[in-house]
Amino acid sequence: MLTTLKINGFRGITECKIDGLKRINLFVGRNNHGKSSILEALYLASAAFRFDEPLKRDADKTGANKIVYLLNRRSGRGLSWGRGRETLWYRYDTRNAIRTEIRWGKRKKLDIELFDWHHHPLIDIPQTSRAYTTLRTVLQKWGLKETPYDWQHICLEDSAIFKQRASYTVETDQLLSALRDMVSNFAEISSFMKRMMFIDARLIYEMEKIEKTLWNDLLRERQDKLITEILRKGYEVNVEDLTYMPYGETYQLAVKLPTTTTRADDLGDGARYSMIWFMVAALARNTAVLIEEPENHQHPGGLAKSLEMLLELIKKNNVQVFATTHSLEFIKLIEKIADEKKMDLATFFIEMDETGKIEPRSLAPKDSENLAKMGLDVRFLDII
Amino acid sequence: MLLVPLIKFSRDQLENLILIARDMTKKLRVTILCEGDDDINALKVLIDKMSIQVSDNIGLNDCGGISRLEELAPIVATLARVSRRLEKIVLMVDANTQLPGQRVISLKQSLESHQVMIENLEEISGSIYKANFEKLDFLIKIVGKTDLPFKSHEMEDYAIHLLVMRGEIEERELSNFHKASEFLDQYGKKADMVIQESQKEEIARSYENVINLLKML
Repeated sequence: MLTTLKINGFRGITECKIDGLKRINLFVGRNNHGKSSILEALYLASAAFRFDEPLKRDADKTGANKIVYLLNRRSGRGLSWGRGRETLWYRYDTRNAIRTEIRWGKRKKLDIELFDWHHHPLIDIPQTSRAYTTLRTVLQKWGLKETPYDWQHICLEDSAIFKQRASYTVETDQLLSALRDMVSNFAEISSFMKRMMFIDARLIYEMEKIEKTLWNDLLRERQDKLITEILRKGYEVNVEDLTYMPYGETYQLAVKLPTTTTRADDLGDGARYSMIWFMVAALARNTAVLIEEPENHQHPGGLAKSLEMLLELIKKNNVQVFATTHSLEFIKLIEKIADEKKMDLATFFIEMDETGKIEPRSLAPKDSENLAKMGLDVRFLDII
Repeated sequence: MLLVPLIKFSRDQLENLILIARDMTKKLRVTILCEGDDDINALKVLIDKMSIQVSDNIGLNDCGGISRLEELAPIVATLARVSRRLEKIVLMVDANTQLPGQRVISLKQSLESHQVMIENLEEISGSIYKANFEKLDFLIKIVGKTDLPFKSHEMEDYAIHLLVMRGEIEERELSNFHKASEFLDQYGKKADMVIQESQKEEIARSYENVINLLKML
């Protein structure tokens, strides 16, 4: 489980350090203070381990990958690495790398950096003697005479090591072996980062892509039963089963009701958004799921039932959750359900100063309760 | 007309939401935690009536129903830990059945049990105590007039003192009441009403220490 996240130079953020991450992490705060950017920074870091976008979002745009997705998910302007990458950098200044530090406990950490001159995020080579010893072995095997100290980054996607802009391709196995030696539990960390999923508000309009990319796996694991259950329990839709029905020259996911069958696209927004959470979360194992404003379109009843089932699922599948929210109802519901299920939860109040610095305030559920007793709402913590 | 922008937080969450959401510029430097709505109303009237000048936005938090220190301490601990802009936290704590000196020590111990290790605790004026916790100043006022014949002492004691001083009631009428608020309930007046209908000089005498505290903000 991720315990610390540090971000430098990404979007509007110059500096942000979040300590004490828990199983469930909520980010609250005013608009334009960096909550979504924190989720995006995590997703960007995950691109160092898996570059392609797992849900094939923005696949129609140049080079479907996580970077293109991040470039376009806010504006949808068809930006590419070549045209628009600067929008990821603080004040569009690409001279310094965007840095993300991720930690698992006190000792295990990785720095991920994105440079203007290479479109894959790179893993920083740790400044430890063990790392250099390992790297020297790799370099010697490949006949390179430079000292290991000169080689600063690793690109997993290209299987290369980098010395500033110069790169040298090595065998993937060799590289992974070096990484395993340099960072304990690298395989576990890498797997966690690779599997990371981002459920954002835009997904509600991309049911087709989700179906195409996930439905096979969902059916294979019979997770479709879970989707049926959430529709029944959370949204009082009398679903008997899910099926695919022809629609023009294609097929679409449909919901079998007692007297008719309707396309999933034609369900209400709340039920569809919840279906999407579950289609993504049902397949997540030993990783993190990033959710942007899960309360969107949700009636409190549907939200409560969805949360109850979601938390059950993530507990079973060892998933860490990072969610942004503006809803006090959501915070109260998830705090209550997390408490019942004995899952750790932290709320972070995110407030960015005029220099782009974020120093989150961490609140345990008890703190929210205490603030409420004073008449203070956790979403307005900036007043004090 | 109030001289300063007092921001009253009630126990009605919706009311607070509307209050804050409609003015995003509100930031608090000082917050006063009181033990109920009546105390807040009395303070507001007191500030207005006595033309007390305080320099910035002040929050008035109704912690009504929380009279036990064990319940108040975790709330104060949360506030001290999560606030970034507050410079002063003012606690208006009923003396109840304790003497002010005993009461403030009990409060200190309760706060310590919630990891708020207040330092440099000292009495700076009649039952007004000052202490520090990290960058925060604490001002603690143990409220109540222990010379009144009640078993338990609270903010309403000052209003009773005013009524006695004005000759509206006699002290012997109080003997059957456990605390001042019980008497006021039966008398049909709230403390803010008593302040409102009194002369400045009379208020200054009865509420002297509370006024001193407010002038420190």
